[in-house]
Amino acid sequence: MSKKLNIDDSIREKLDGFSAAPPSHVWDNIQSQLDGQRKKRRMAYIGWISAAAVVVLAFIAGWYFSGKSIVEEPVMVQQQTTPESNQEPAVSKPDKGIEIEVDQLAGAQELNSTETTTNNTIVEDKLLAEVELATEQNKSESDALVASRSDENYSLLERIEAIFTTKQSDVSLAEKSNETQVEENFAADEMLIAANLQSLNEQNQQEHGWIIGAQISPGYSSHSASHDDTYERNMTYNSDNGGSNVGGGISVQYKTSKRLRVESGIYYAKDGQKADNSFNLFSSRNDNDMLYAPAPGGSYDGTELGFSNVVQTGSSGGGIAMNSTAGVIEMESAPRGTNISANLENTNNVSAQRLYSDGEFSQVFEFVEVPLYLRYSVLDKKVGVELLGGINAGFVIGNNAYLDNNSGVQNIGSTADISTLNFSGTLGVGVNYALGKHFSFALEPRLNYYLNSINSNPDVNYRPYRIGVYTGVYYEF
Amino acid sequence: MRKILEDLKKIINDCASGKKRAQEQLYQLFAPKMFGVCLRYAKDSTEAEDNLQDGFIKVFQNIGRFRHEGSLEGWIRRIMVNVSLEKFRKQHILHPVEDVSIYEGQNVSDDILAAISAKELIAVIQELPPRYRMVFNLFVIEGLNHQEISEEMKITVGTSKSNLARAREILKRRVKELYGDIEKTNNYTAG
Repeated sequence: MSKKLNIDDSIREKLDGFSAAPPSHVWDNIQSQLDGQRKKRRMAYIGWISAAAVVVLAFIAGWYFSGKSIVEEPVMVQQQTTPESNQEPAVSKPDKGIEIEVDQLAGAQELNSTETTTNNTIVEDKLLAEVELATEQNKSESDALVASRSDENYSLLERIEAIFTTKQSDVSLAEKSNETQVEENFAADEMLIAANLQSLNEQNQQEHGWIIGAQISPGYSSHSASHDDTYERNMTYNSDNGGSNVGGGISVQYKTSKRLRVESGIYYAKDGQKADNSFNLFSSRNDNDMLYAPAPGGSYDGTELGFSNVVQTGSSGGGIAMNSTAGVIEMESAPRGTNISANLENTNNVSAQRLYSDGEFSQVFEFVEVPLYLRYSVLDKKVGVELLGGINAGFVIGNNAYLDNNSGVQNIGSTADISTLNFSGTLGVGVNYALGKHFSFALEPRLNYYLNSINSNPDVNYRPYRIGVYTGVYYEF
Repeated sequence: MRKILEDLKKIINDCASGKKRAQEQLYQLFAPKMFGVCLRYAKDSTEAEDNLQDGFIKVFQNIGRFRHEGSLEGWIRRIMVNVSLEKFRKQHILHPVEDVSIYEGQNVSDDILAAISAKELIAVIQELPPRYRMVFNLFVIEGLNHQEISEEMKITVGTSKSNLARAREILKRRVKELYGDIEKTNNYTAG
């Protein structure tokens, strides 16, 4: 046993101090492998920086009210400074504080403070410190992301290496790779700057631009109305019936930011009211006890419906005037299928007469509306959701009254005292679907409500409203 | 001496900062000795070079973690041994050690061992079956005990012991064959 141990000892003695010169290509391989790792790390680092830049840009884009891109500027500026300081590495003064910081950053053992280092080294350390400090800020995001990697301590080092190579090396190989690294550095910066610019352009493109659209809107229109008591007593049946109609128009939107747009355009819309004839309680089949004579076409037993409306003749322009929901309907003559009679109850008041008719009166107004809307994009994806609101200037271009009776639909005149210019408010929700890069299809339910009475007669407060489903396409450019 | 130590400290710090000059200095300082270590664990010079290369990559990657507590040489050497062991685990994990038939112990005089060079001795060690080589190196040169070896190599203590014994026998046999003027025996079958 002791014999064996002796053998072990002698073998150990012989081999322990044994050394042999490794072939020179081993060092070359080590060096190129280290360079390769630097390169890989650098590429990874560029990837993280790019990702961080995208996040920052996305954040800015979401921050729609402030168009200023104060956050992203440092990214580009600092990236540009990196190669510059790399080119001119000899301007700094020794600074112990920063030197120590470099050590700490590098994860190395604390530096002996009594140690005297050559100027060369200090300059280099200082330089490293500057770059590290300069890059530290804008890399903090990517650092955090990299932090999960097991070799995080060393990635920092590698990054320093990646940006900096020692100038002092006399080895030609080192100098050679130094040059290529500087070039790569420039290339990397250019890539980064280009990416940033591209993102900025895309952002600008998205933030500012024009959208034109064409919509058609099947809609339902009705009104809210109130009347002076006197007016109402002599009025036809106070209708709250609405009517369906079709509107439409073209719109122009300008993007002021990614999410906000201003819209104008020109729309055509129809509003109106329909009224069953008034006072039908006096002549309906359920009112057999009434004292009044039945309307022509009506019968005492109420099997036929007849209507009588209070009208005035000769009061204005020789025509017949009848109070209705949206205002006074002025008729030039008695419509077909109607009769006019004097008021039987009061022969003194010859002007108070009755219009006997059946059928349905309607007052229809046509508007051309010029909107000023704000649109806010709640969801900006393939399927987008928008909120819109604003006001319209509504010009009345059509004002007609109709009677639909046995004789068909006839235009019996127009409504008096209708203002030409009116204002309405609009609220809407839009759902749009992108058909391509430029086109989108949209479905937008909107409520349009007149803010003022379109009738200037103080006895009449008539404000039409309209619910329309605006359906159309948009083209963005 | 103080100066050298300070220089070494600076080299270490510079290596940690990734300075190429310092890395090269460190390599020049330790490569020959570490190559000697790697040669012992490898089957040939090419494998030793690979391990040396991988080892130094690890050294440069991890030198920031070196705490100046033990000697730098010991630290680097430990890395080299680990790299060699790792390589062995990858390559030989599925390869059972060739069964070497048991033969009688050989008497090798110290004279022979004294006479042959370290290089020749290493050449003989490299001929050992991989696991024997590992166990032999760890036990004889690195001074690990069988418990440590069994943990390091994921083998039982018994295996470690028998591997060491066989490695010794083969070595002695081989040395005798090559360098001793001793009559050859026919019962040695290890390749």
